[in-house]
Amino acid sequence: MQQHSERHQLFCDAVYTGAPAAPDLINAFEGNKTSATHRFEIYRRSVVGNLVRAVVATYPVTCQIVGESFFNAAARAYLKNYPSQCGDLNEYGEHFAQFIGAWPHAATLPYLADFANLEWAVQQVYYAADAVTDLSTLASCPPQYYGMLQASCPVAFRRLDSAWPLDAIWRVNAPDYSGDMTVDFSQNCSLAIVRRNARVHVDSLQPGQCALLDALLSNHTLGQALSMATAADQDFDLNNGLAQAIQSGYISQFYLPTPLQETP
Amino acid sequence: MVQKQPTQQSKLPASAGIGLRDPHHAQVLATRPATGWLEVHSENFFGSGGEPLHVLEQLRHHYPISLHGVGLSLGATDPLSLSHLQKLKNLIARIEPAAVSEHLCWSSVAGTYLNDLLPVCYNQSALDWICNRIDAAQEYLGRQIWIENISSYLQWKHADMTEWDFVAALSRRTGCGLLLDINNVYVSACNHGFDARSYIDAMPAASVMEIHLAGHEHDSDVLIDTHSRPVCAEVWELYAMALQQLGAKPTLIEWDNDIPALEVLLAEAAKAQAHINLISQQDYAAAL
Repeated sequence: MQQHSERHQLFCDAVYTGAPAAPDLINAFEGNKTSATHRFEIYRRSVVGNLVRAVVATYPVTCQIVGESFFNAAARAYLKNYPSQCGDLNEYGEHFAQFIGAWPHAATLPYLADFANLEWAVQQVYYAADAVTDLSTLASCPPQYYGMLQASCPVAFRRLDSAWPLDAIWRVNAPDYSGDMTVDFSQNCSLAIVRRNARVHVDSLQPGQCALLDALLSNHTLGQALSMATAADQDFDLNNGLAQAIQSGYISQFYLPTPLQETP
Repeated sequence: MVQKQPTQQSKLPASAGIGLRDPHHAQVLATRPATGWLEVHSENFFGSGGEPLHVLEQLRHHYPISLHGVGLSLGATDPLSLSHLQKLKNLIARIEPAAVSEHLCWSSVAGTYLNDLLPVCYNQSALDWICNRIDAAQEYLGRQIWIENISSYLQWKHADMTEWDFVAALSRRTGCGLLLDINNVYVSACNHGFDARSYIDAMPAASVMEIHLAGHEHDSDVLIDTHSRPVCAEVWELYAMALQQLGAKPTLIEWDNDIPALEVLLAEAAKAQAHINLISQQDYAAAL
């Protein structure tokens, strides 16, 4: 299969580099050189078109912000640097945020990389497994052990911080939004990306909520997490803060550390 | 050699079906149009949850489902992707499809994917290699898969057999089913100057499990398989001929670009159904 492999490699290199197909490749095809070159270009257009469409499908709002022709140029440059590594096109584009952040042509839009990160998180949450909500441990926990509970988030959940107001940019670019398009770029944001009722939501978090979630996500106990939330935000609502996080779908399960569970 | 038949009770009926595409999800779910079965692209349901999978999990109770893959890269020289096979296997367990199919093509080399259906060189070494890979895939999935012929714009010089002999040999040697795409036969026949009827004549009737029909476009003298238009008159004619030879077969209308209203897609499927009805009546009359 060595010869097959070498020809496939020539084909692949020619498609991705954008350079004219090597004579060795063109000569491996039936027909005259002109016809084979023309037909090879049909394949190149098809591959590039599929990959660019896949990136557009994952980053539709980023595309809307910069315009289709700019975005297509970015996607074409991206695929030369990050060839596809997977047979599932839905997984293509994972490194686009990293790429666009370093792409000189996008230097005047410094928030774009963070925004692309948000769109990648939205897609991950869209396809992630359904939440299995189980609050039985919380319900049956003796009150004196509340502080020792630990919590976990659903698979369809991501946390994201940015020095840019990604939430406002997301909101004004929503298909059904018709209000004021002004965005205050001096604002930063802390976000929770979560699926509720089959739809992906991008929620802005207050400092207290944010501290609570981050503490729970890094395996702190509920007692520690609530202290950290209060430290981050003196107005944090100790009575309702946890209930809100559960209702919003950020937390799906509670558990007690193993040694405690074994205590009769 | 694996010759497992689908173990599920549902089987693709010898009737017309449609490709279920994202813009039609809500309408198909709400109206449940009369169509024999639904086909989806397997990879679009590889996620472990979310709305597309919910839609399919509901629809599978109302229609036989065919999972049609585009990314396994059976004709590549790379090792088979176990993660891809595992995701497909998980999806099969969840959906219990009536059919699982893939393409006779390569789409990756040395771990880099082109995510397109590229032609393999039809010679003995490729045949041996791809037969082993189909065996391995059928073994891993624990069921028969159906292999579809692709459209091509280029042919490798080092080929030493025709595509139709290659395809027939795949099914003979691995026990895989065949998914005969008649538009692809027509497109390749025009592009490479062979007689589409010779291709269909060479198909082993008992191994052809499904037929695909679709529309194509022209780029100067080359026909391109775009799945963006109605089925053309020449392809309908070849389809009628194929049914005469092969008998009634499950037939899918594929429409992936410039996707029309669901009604237009269903009307195209109804044309295929009319052809199938005619063949079934002839078969019935002949049996009397």
